[in-house]
Amino acid sequence: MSFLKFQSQQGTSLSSDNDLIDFEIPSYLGGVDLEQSYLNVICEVSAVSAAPAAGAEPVGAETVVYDVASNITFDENLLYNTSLIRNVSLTSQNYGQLESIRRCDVINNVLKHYGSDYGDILGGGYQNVVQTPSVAYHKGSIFRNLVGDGGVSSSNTRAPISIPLKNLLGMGNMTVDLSKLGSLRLHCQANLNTLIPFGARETNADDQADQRWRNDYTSTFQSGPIQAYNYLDFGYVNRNNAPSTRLIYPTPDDIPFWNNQRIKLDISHIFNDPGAPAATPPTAPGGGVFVPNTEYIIASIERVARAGAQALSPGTYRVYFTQDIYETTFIPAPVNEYSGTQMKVSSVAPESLTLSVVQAEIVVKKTAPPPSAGGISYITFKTLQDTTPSTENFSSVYSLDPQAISQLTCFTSVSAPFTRSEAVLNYRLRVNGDDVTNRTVPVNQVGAGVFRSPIHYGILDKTLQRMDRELKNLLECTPDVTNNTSQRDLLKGPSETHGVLVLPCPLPALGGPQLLEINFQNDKAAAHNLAIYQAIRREIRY
Amino acid sequence: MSNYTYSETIPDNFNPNGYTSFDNVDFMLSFPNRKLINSSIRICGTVVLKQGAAVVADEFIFIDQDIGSNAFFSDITTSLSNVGMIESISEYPRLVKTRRIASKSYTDYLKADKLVELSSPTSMMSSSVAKGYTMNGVGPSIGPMDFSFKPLISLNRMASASRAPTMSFRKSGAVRISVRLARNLAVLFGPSVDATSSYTLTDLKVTYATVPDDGTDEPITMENVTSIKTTIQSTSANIAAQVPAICRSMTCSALVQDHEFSPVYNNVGCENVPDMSRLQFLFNDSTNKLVTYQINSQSEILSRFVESVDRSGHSSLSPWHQCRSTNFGFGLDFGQFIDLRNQTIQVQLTTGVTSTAPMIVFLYFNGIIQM
Repeated sequence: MSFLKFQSQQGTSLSSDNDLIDFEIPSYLGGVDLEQSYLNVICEVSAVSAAPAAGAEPVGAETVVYDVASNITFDENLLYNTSLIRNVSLTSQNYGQLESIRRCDVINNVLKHYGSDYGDILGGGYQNVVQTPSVAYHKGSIFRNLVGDGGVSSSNTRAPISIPLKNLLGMGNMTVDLSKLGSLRLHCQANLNTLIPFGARETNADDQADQRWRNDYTSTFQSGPIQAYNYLDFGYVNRNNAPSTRLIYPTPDDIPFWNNQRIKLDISHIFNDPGAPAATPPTAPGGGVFVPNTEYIIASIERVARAGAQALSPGTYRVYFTQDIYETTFIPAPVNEYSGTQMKVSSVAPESLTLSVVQAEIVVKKTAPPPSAGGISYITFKTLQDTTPSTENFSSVYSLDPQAISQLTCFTSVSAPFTRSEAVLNYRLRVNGDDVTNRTVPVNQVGAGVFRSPIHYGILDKTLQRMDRELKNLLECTPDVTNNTSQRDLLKGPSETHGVLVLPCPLPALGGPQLLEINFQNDKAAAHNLAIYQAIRREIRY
Repeated sequence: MSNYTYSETIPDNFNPNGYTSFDNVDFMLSFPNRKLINSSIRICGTVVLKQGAAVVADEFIFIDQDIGSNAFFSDITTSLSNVGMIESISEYPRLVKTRRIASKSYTDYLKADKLVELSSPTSMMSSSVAKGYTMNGVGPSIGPMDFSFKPLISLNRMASASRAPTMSFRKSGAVRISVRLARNLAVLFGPSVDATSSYTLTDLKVTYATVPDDGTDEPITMENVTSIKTTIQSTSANIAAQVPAICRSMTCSALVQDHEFSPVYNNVGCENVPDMSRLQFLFNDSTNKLVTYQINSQSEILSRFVESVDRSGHSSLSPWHQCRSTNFGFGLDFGQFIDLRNQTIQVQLTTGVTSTAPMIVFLYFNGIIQM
């Protein structure tokens, strides 16, 4: 058993315009475990950012989140890595074409969604190009080595977008004997032209919905004369947990900072003017703003133990900057002392981001050939695509493959890459003239109390069973990758605009012609791009 | 079902006042004419956290959220009177932590079998749970929190051809489970932890299940663990190991040396090895086994780590966890059992570690023993 790596035949010439990727898996490997083999599309993301206004320090790692997008907007649902491959085919030297799936990005996303519980989605977090938020609503990126503790610099890194073959191909969960099949050729067309990096949001510290970026009254400027300093302490917590606004960053999960990060500080003081109430904004000569909305770069982050019997707890975070924080207004003595501070911290997004595709490679697990069973059997997909006219009621008949055992009809419009269609109100399918249901199946009628009819899930479960797959997810929505600062929800509630909609039905696979009649009603005249995926069981006899 | 008996045993060195850090506790399991059921051994007890002399109320004191009560037991040794010692696990809490982050998503900690261990989906919840029972979840503790967990020891990881492995008392003799309690700063961490922070365990007992001995025996294999602790302090590091075991995988985690037994850092934290840009595994100086190339992407490093533990599809690993230096590891699934008694495995690393901040690396070799 060993893992071997092969480069794509295109070498390093991949780009958004050159999106075809070919791999040759040589027959001399003998047995290949496709389930533990995967292809990597290696990318890097460079950021362009202006130098901070208060200094000329270089900008290191930026906040970056990514959407593998088909023109999707910031607040679209999560797309899995498999959505990077648009079309795929697998050809055997001895047996010809084994699989050819058009628009496999949509069907693989749908199957991954229905077959994954939320723990599964989180479980792949270390290699997902589109990250789900942490419990504290923060995100990292596979293209950044962010360091949030200590003094090591954060850095940019080339990273592979990994796509397991088991998520890509129908026979991807098998161990195959290449001494029988001959060498394999994997041909892919990638969605490289729609792979778009997005900079993280610029936060507004006043936006409490933005959670951990918030107004902070806890900074640790020591009372006394104004001076230059190169660090701030965050996360004071009251040992006795008295009601306080100071309860931030008690755990490592919460703090949103990392080394080389560019952040913006806005600091003002309450001066130690005996005549002024404590909560009064500064009225000292020279004005109150101390550090007016100025950008700084984080140099290092420490968790520090604070000695002393003060009411504040001994542990907090100390964030060092690459330069001193300067006051912008000189406060003449004797009022140049202060006793309290109000601080706002916000993040800064990069001015622009560029994603480059470096190369593609496939990692193959070489293993002993499986015991010969006289052949192999697997389920693959055949795609039928159609465009519906802009109409309120749609009805059409499609001729399906005689061997198709089930079908999923997906909506592939540009605005719904994850096959959702809020326009559809109900559907009814017929197979070879026989009704699949005795009445229409209502969907997307939240106002009438029906989001998905129970019978829809029953048919969907049966359909997936026929594909040897399990229905594990009834959320009908995927983790949100929103960039909208007003949106905090980790999981959006099911709704017409976030539900995943397919029209499922099992098929008899009688071996003769199969006719699928699709009827659905829109809430208003609307056009759709349909992709009808037919699951077909194939056998190859050696 | 009447043949299926639950038993419990209290410590040989019973202490009604409870047990604290560094205490040794021995349990003797005797079940004449019966067979021990696989995966039935549990350690149970209650815990009280204190700050000075007072019971912890609202301070920010944490126990690792993933491992819960496993954190109290730093070393576990298992011996059979007819066989001798079969396993001695040092750094036991870290072993559990390493396995958990590679096989559990935080949603898994809402399940009952994890909640009774005092494991929690979030740090804050863990902090609240460990402080004991409260009225409506607020205010001071009105009673210590009880816990129960299955220790990750060989006797809970048996396998046999019948898929219902049991171990006869005729073959094993009495089972002795010896545990050493972890020091306070190995368990507790957080903003409020100081030298006076402590824990006390009371009502400790081991429970297990047996069935009557039917006189038949079948070969039993048990998974066991061999651990090694070493240090890296330069950007290029080479860790070589030869262990007395037949192993199927190797799992590693790391901790900055200064963070060990620190009040503000989690002692069982699987911290990020900064800027790990190369990872290579060599067997007897040969590169043509298993992974034949240098691993130089973080996602593949983590992917191999996950495979070395489990393929459940769940994990608590992400770039953000790496940024926060909370969950990270590396390792390799050998894909077969490899006898490491007569060959050396080397792990070569290129990282951002320097002599100013050396890191401790914990290696766990997951193997099997046969009875």
